[in-house]
Amino acid sequence: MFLYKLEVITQSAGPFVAVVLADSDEKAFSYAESQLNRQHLIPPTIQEISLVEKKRVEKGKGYVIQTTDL
Amino acid sequence: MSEQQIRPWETDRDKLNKLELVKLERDGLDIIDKIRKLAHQGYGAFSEEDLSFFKWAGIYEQRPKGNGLFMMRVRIPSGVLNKEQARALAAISRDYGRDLVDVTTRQAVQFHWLPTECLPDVFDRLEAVGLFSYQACGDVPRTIVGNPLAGIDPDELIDTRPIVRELEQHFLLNREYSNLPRKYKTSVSSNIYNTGHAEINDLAFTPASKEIEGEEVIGFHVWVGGGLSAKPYLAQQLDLFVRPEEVVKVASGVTTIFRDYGYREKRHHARLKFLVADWGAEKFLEKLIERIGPMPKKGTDRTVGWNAGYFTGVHKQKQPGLNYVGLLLPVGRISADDLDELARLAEQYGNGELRTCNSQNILIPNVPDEKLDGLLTEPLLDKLTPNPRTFIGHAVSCTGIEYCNLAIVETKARMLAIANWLDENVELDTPIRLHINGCPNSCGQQQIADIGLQGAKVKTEQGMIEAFDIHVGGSLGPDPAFNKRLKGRIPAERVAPVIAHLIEYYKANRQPDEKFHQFVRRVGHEVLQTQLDQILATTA
Ligand code: HEM
Ligand code: SF4
Repeated sequence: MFLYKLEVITQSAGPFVAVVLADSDEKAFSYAESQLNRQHLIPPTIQEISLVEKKRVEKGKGYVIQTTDL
Repeated sequence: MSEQQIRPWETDRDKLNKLELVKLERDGLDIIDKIRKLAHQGYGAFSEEDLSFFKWAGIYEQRPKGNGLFMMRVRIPSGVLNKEQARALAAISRDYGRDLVDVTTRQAVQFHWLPTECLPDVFDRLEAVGLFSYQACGDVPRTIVGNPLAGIDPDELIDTRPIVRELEQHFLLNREYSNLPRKYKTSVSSNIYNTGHAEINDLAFTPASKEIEGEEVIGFHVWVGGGLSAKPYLAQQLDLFVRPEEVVKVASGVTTIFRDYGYREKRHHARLKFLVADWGAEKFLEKLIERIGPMPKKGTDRTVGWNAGYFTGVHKQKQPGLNYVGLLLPVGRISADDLDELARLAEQYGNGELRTCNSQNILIPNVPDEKLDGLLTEPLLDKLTPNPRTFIGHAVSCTGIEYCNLAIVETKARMLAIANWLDENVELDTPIRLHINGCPNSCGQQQIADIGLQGAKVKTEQGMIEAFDIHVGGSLGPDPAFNKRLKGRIPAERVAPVIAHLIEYYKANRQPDEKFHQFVRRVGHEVLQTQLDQILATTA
């Protein structure tokens, strides 16, 4: 199991970083998309979604995400 | 570590992360004996905690984790190998590692595919020729990088081989240093072209001179707190001058400061760079002087440029009549048979030595003039050519998804494809250094490349594809700076043509003798961004 970091660029709602737990790269993408959709009444159209980092799951692992300059 | 002594960090256990608490109970180096005792029982004999200590023995689980297959790194201090050592490495990889040997960006050597059961035998075979995987990974002093030309180098002020040897002996298996807060990387070079990549090491010694009592003394300047990873920092110079015979004293002083004051609360905030960033160079020096006694202030820096470890071709040594021949190992990979053959060539044409470079290449030193032609007509040199084309000759790659658990993309094959395409399609008279990383951890040292690539996966209508962020303008000292990212993620198959466009722009607009990184810094990052935007817009 890995903790994944994905970057999402949408047409209507700006950029996001999604952090999801998954056991494969494929699933990381689909979890990230469903998390994104859950946060919106109208799901934003995804322009680009990319997987940029993965960390093996252990206590204390995480990401620090700068909120400007995404 | 002596039994009774309480180290400063041990007193406040709330300030320690989980692994630190375990490290108080277990000395990382004990794992070596445990592996010797239990490995014949196979992977299942080791607990998860044991496996986390395998690093102290230089061993990492390779991808996929849990299969009992390991990557092992072997220290090659300053890159100096003799023929027996080269043959031992080749034999280990043939017997246990599927014929594969990788040379790393810190002059070390890596095996893959090693099964658990073979590890004690590998330790023995390495030890028999004076090589060690111990402390090649883990929270310890790692292999010491240096000048691959030490002792034969017309551009070095002094031969650093004895110093590296002394340091290696001082650090290796020394329990005073077996529990550092984090990995600890040392570099020693007296070459005036910064062949030790000083600024990206935790501790580095670079060539310097100073007039002391009317006499010109050759020695070193000292840099602390460099490192790459996800948050790269350039080392800072301390205001002191070190005579060659004092290097070990200074190194142990710096290392014990790291051991005793380095941060242990969060692992990603534990490298020496964080302490140096907080203290600043002046306070750091004060603390060092408290430990090691007064030292003279800094003299004259003798570094005049940067050679990023590229020595391909035939070059004269400082010893008249002798030459070194630098060979290309494409992205650092060599087969067991080729390594054996290199050992034979080194014996037949040189003095049996080989040197690994932090550009992931290798060289044969000590070839007399009259034997050069013979060496150059050897069939192996068709493959590991001393005259590589420009791009493949300056391409560096991390391990990538083939073996690495953290990789997002394939790197070595990708870099080969990119560099070969550029060599076919772009005319260039000045080298451009290309580095590739499969994730943000920087094993491929992407940040110091002229053009650095970092992998990501992008979802498209055709499914998941590999893509890369492009970073431009990195170099080490003098005038060091990490490269900076251009916005816009490029699908893998477009990376080579996109780089070609950027290089054409550079060729059309550069000043005489201007290197790529100098060009980027003169015209500014935005200009390159505009170029990239145009390329992406016109050929989308
Ligand atoms: C498959 C095995 C490997 C794994 C799992 C691995 C893992 C890592 C990790 C996690 C880091 C970041 C460490 C930190 O935060 O300080 C790192 C850094 C690094 N690794 Fe690797 N690595 C592997 C192979 C390699 C190889 C093949 C090379 C050489 C080509 C290499 C050289 C480096 C270097 C130079 C750094 C940057 C260290 C620094 O100065 O901060 N590693 N590696
Ligand atoms: S840079 Fe990332 S992908 Fe490449 S070897 Fe290092 S950890 Fe693995």
